[in-house]
Amino acid sequence: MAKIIGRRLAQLVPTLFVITLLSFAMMRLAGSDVVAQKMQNTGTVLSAQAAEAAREELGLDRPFWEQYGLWLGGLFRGDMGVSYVSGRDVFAAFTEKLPATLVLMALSLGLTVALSLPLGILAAVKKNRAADVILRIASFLGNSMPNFFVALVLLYLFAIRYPLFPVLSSQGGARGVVLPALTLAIAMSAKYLRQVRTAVLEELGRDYVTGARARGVPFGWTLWRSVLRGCLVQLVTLLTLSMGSLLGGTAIVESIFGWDGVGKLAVDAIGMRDYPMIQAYVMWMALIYVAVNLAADLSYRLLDPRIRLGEDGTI
Amino acid sequence: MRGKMDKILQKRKTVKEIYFIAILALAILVLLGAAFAQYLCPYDPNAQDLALALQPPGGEHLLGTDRYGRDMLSRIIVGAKVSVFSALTLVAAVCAVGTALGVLCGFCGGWLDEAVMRLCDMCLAFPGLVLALAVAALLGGGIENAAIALGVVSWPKYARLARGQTMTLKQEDFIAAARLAGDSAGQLIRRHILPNLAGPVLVMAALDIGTMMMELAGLSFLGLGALPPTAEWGSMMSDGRTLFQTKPWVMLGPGAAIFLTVAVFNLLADALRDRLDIRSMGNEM
Amino acid sequence: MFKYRRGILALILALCILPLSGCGGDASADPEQSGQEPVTFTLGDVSFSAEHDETDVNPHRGYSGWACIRYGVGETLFRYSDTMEIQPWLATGYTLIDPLTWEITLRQDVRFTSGRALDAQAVKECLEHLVEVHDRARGDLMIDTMEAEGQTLTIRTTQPRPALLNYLSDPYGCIIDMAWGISEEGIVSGTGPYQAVSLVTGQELHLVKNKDYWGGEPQVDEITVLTISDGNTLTMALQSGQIDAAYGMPYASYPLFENEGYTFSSTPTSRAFFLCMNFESPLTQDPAVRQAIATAIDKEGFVNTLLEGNGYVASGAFPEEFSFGGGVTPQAYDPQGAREVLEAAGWVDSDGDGIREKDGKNLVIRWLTYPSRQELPLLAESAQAALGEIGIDVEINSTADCSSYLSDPGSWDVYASAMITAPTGDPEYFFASCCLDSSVANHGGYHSDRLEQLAQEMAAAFESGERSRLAVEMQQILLEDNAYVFCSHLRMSMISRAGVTGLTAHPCDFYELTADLRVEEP
Repeated sequence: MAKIIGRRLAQLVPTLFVITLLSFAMMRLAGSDVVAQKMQNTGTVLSAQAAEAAREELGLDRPFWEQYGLWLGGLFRGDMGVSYVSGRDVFAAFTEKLPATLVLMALSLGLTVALSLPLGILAAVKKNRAADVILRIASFLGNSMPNFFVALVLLYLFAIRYPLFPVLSSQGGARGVVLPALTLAIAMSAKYLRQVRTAVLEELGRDYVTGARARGVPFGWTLWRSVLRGCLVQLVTLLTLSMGSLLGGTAIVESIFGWDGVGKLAVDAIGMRDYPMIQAYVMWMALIYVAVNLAADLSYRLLDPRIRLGEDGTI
Repeated sequence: MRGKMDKILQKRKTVKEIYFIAILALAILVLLGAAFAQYLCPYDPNAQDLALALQPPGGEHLLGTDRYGRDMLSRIIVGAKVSVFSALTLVAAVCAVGTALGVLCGFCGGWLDEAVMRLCDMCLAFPGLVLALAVAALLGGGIENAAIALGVVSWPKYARLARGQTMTLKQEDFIAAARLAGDSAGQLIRRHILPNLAGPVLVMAALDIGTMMMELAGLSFLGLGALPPTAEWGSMMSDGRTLFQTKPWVMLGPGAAIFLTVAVFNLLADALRDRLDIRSMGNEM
Repeated sequence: MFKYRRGILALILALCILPLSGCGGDASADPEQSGQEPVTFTLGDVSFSAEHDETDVNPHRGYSGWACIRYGVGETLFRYSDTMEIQPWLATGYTLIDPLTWEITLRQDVRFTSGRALDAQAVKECLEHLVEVHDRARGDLMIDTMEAEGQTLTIRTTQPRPALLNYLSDPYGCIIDMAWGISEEGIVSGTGPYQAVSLVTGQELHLVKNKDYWGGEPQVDEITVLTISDGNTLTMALQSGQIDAAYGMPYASYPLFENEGYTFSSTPTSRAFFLCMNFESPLTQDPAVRQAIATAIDKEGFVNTLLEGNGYVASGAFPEEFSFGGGVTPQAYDPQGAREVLEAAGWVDSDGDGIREKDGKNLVIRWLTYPSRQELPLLAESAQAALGEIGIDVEINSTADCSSYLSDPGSWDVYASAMITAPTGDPEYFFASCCLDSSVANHGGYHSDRLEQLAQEMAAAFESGERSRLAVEMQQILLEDNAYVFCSHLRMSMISRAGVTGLTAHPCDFYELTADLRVEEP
């Protein structure tokens, strides 16, 4: 196991290199540099000489790779530069808001599992009966609606018509997270419900289920012990895959609900072209994504011993 | 007894066939509608007439007018062109590039395979919308930029699928037979591998159209997609959201359009999967 | 291996239950609504953000003075009455000793929230720091020397400054205690009814009442100002009662609040929505193009339909009601005339694509604006259609990051913005900040010899009738050159829920939270 983890970690090195390089290059591509931006923000005009001196001090006159090296070095010390807009330390501002986004993501993933797993099993067990048909239609509807639309409808219904939850989620305490998490969860649950249904149906068709039934093992027990475990791998794969859209989706949902996380931070930063902040966002999201993928990859091996590394290298 | 069973099965098959054709026809209809959008509009979609602003649906303007007095129906129809075709072009491009690379990797293996797969990993390291946000920040808004960003992170999915399928197919007897019969690599790919690949790839692509449409709409909603006065469903909804409670048709019109179109393509993907008998392939790697 | 699997199952189960128990627990616990709660007030504001260069409440930074004065943190030496006349505030009066020397006497009973008493020395320190760091203030005030003696401050200016008191009443003139300083967050110690305690830029500002306020103890204990940049969210936040009042509500939402549950406080303001032509762009250098743009925009339609009547068609820079407002003749709305002007100047559509060209170059105007004022994107899109009618193609660039485009004159042709043209109750401000060679915000590089000359005359004119006459003449020059096109003036409204009183819209748009604010539970 340790060997496997080691190998997967080694594979990460080039990926991490590319993530940092792209994030860094993005900033350089943006055209304007810190000095020009600062001049603009403070409304002061530096002489060409003073600006040059400032650039030299920041190392902006050095070759690209050297600058990249410096920047990477700063990164390890938690130094990601200062925001063009607020003048605050980017790393501090970012990490301050990161927990809110992580909480939102974790809750929406939890909600997704809580919704799709039982409902998916229900649909499979009641195949082609009313419950199944209704659930399939609902899942289809949820799958075809853009999340911002869902967000607005939820807001209107549960914050205005029936004021159960706050409109400004960052102000409403713990209750505030429900609507944004639900928005994210609805689209994902719609997708997973179908997957769970298919997976359970498949497992139910297997011989061991028939066999267990014939032996008089209670059906619920079979479902719980065997069938569920069979679909777990698939569920983990799906959850990992949707992390990508979830990470992006939080940007939209956070903006709509005013949830004070990094997604909203990023959208605001894009509006103001606050490149250091955008850079931090892109890099962190990519890192989180990579980490989640790694974790999922490893968890397959725990969940399903049939998969062993080495057959393919990747899954 | 057996005859009756066959008949029922036969009937079921026919129903399925009809359903599939109906869905396909619907999808084609949407595409045709989008293609000839400008001929279908009852009004000029960009013509403003402030005197007619915010007319409710019905009467002269079937779906009402927006706050500039533009005909909603015309804008929704023309919006199909932007919304549907940008998603379609994007998926087509991504699907072609990804599949081609995947087949090559699967077929040739070796360093090419290794290199392309590592490239896949790197592209997949960036969550799609996050990268799209970054690209929008760099290059500015515009539906093309949004599409480029989504494209960069979407092709690896196809490459992986095509590679896996090709590797499996390569082991099959009929390929070996064809090879013995003297088919060149190109012929093998063209005659045997691609036709067998088409099903799973098509299902994945059909599903992707809906997803891409929603993601592009999301970017437009954030103001990073289509620029005014381009009628695009996502930005139309974004514009109309302050009117959501007072003049709901301004937002619900394009909302319904997105919903219905995505629904059609999702149904198509389902029907396609059923017909080609591919189990839960589309949503997986 | 088996053990792990059981663990994972348990984990997933826990995940299923977690969110359910989470919201259930919170729904039952409701700690609010007991008897001895402090009186709180929450204001939702669209404009308190970096986008408006209003990042904190430090009046010496950018336009943050607006936040400082709006939210009752700081006060200026003089203030404006409801008719925009100068009145004493922290000062009790002044004497103009000679055209360069002003003697200002201060109130005796004022303390900063830091505890320090307000005296001439404190004001001097504050103003010295202001002109040192704030370009706009330095240019406006032209302070040469200051002398502080007890409660008397003597200011000498480098040139005659007839409008000095008006400038001192600009939000940047909020008097803060420099000995207390400016915190890293941008919090200052002022003399106002409320004291800033914490602040997150673009997010929220927390205030508590200043118990020792010289104007009497405020009745509201705690105030939260939330920056809500999305109009839709602002609407729903007020509907749901999460905020008690809103500034910058989308007009489309007004009908939702036009009932007994809410109060509107509205007033005409000098906030103008206007276009600034870029004289460094070859396209807008062409007088015909400028004239065509000025005559093709339907101001009536913009105000009546898109602003839903919440505004006034503008003729010049200032509202008609102002003494220096009326009397100017703008370009009349005349699309046909605009076509002819373009035609005569050689802009013709020879390839039949609906866009005019000259020398093979299409007439494409790059229209720069920003979205945080809801009126501006509406103006842009309606102008786009109107100009399209006469053969001018308009590319809209609506961005929160306008300032970096403005600093690159090659990137835009027309800049549409919203500005309070007479925040100081005096016409000089607008010309001085936007139209002269020395102006900080003369983005389009406009220059007129005659205007410069008149501006100098105004700078030396102490008599208000004379200033008004000059203001009208100067506006007329701008209009004749089509350097600026004034589309409309804003009728500003604040909406508050029933039970909130004392929140009154003021024509200058920057007195908002005062000691008069009262909040009763609905």
